[in-house]
Amino acid sequence: MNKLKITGTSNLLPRNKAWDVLKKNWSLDFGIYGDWAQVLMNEEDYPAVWVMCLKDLIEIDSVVIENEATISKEIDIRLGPLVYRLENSEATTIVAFLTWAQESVIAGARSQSKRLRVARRIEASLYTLTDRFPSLYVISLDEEFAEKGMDSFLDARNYYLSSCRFSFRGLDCLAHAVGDILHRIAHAAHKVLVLDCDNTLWGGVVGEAGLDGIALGGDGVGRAYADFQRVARFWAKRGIILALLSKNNEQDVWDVFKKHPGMQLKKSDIATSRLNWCPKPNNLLELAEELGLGVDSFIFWDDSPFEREAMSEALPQVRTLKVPDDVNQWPAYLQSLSELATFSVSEEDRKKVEQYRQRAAYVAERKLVTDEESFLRSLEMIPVALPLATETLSRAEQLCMKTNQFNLRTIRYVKADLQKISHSPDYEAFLVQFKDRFGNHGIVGLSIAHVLQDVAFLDTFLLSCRVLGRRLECWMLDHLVERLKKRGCVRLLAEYVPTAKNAFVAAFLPEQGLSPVTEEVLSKAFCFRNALDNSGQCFTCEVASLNINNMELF
Amino acid sequence: MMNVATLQKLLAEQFPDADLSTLGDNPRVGSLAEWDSLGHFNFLLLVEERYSVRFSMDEMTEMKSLEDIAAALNSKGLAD
Repeated sequence: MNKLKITGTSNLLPRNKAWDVLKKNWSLDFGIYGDWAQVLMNEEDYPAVWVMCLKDLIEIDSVVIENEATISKEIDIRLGPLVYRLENSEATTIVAFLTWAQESVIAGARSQSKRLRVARRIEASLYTLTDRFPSLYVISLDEEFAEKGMDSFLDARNYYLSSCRFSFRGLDCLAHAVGDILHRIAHAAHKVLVLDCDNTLWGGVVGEAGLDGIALGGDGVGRAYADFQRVARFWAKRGIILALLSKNNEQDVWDVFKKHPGMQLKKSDIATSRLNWCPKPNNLLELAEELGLGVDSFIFWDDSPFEREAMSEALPQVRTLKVPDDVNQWPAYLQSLSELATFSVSEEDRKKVEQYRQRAAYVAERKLVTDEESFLRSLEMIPVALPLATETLSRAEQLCMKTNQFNLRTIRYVKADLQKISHSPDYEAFLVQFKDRFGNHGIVGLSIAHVLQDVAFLDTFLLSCRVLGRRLECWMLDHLVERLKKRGCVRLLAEYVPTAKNAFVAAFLPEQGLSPVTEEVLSKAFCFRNALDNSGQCFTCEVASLNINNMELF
Repeated sequence: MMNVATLQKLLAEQFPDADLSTLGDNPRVGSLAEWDSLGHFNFLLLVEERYSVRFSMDEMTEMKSLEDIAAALNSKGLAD
């Protein structure tokens, strides 16, 4: 088990039962009480937690604080050991800080107390450090403890008896907060929030009460439902996929979405749905398949204990939430879910929802059409070739780095490599941009052929998994062949290098009429001998004789 | 009535690796290697948490044995 060092300015009561929650995954090492500065500076490369109570760190009354600069100086000295560790170790560092203290309302009425000035400054310094050091994570115990009240988390008796400022519950809360952060560092957040409709998105059953009869918006509980929807939207904007799973007549639900003035969610916020009378676990499995995600990425929210029980029973991997009984608690509860929270949100995350929505629509439609060819025809697929050039280099690099499944040789080119290729006359390279009825999928393919004399070697040939199953690879190969013909190439040499993830591309080359390479061919194409990977299977064909399948689709 | 046997189960939770057969007739601080002053403090916090009681500072410093703790709990009207 990995070691986790926990140290603090306060005694942390090693071996207290409150720490048990961390013991499942970590071997805890508390060191000796009081040695926190040494622990931070000893340059050992395992994760560490520093619990810092302002009162232990600075004796506020004895410090002469003249202006902001003198405050900063006092703080910088005390954060020195932390900064030293951050500069010398890339191992995770978690700082849990507590600055709260009991003060008279009067003392703070006309000017910020000395303590508060120091507290705000130290908090700002910590977050400045998170910008500089990606290994640093910060927990504000002031915030964590506020939810249930400082009184229940801090304990003066414990402090005077054993120098521990925290109560049992305080330690428990601290241990859980640390555990949550360590968990998120190691595991991705859940991706899909599955919501029920009746008595979840609104109060009442729309099929019985009708559009006017449900509680949504206005004063009272209807406002809580509206707020709950707003929070669901908040998550959608952060890249969480929203899906509906409800026993309803489908039309009733969409009528509410379309017509009810209290609705906060729009139909376009919902990536996919199952609004029918089938058992919810079966429906959820279908959603998982449709989105191409494991069921362990799903969070299930349902007001009905019966449905929750059925889900936990059938699919224990799904995170079924124990929803609070009181609907008024829902917005805050949904907002605070650690399962969905991430350290930051990228532009890419925001776009993800749209991409999954397109994928879900694509898979759902494919189910309706039995004849695959007519389905693909109906997609109105439009591929366009783009040159490998300055403005496409970043995307080309991303594709090289991330594409695992449809990738013949899985060469992880970086930008600099691709730039050289784009300038070299010996390479025939292009990207594929693609759109169809489900949306504009952006740049999804890359083909790089190395051409020497009249032989072309297919160095890289890959397609993003977003657009698989559309025969786009055929178009890409055909386009390549046209380009090679123009260059006067006679022979195409290609290689499939197996990896753990690209098995299904194995058949592609023979399917298109390429045959296994012979010694005779290899001897003619001696210039590529060094390029070939020994673990790969080589195929070849004459460029002019290649007749590619499925071209009628484009 | 809260008795020593019930508290001994809680003691086993606090010191999962300890051999409780060596406890003797009057289990108290020092009866186990793990049951030092910090171990004792942790144990008292666990008792408080489990039985939703709160000991005063004096009680905390005076209780040294399971019997003491049982008596303190009984004085707060607790049944096991």
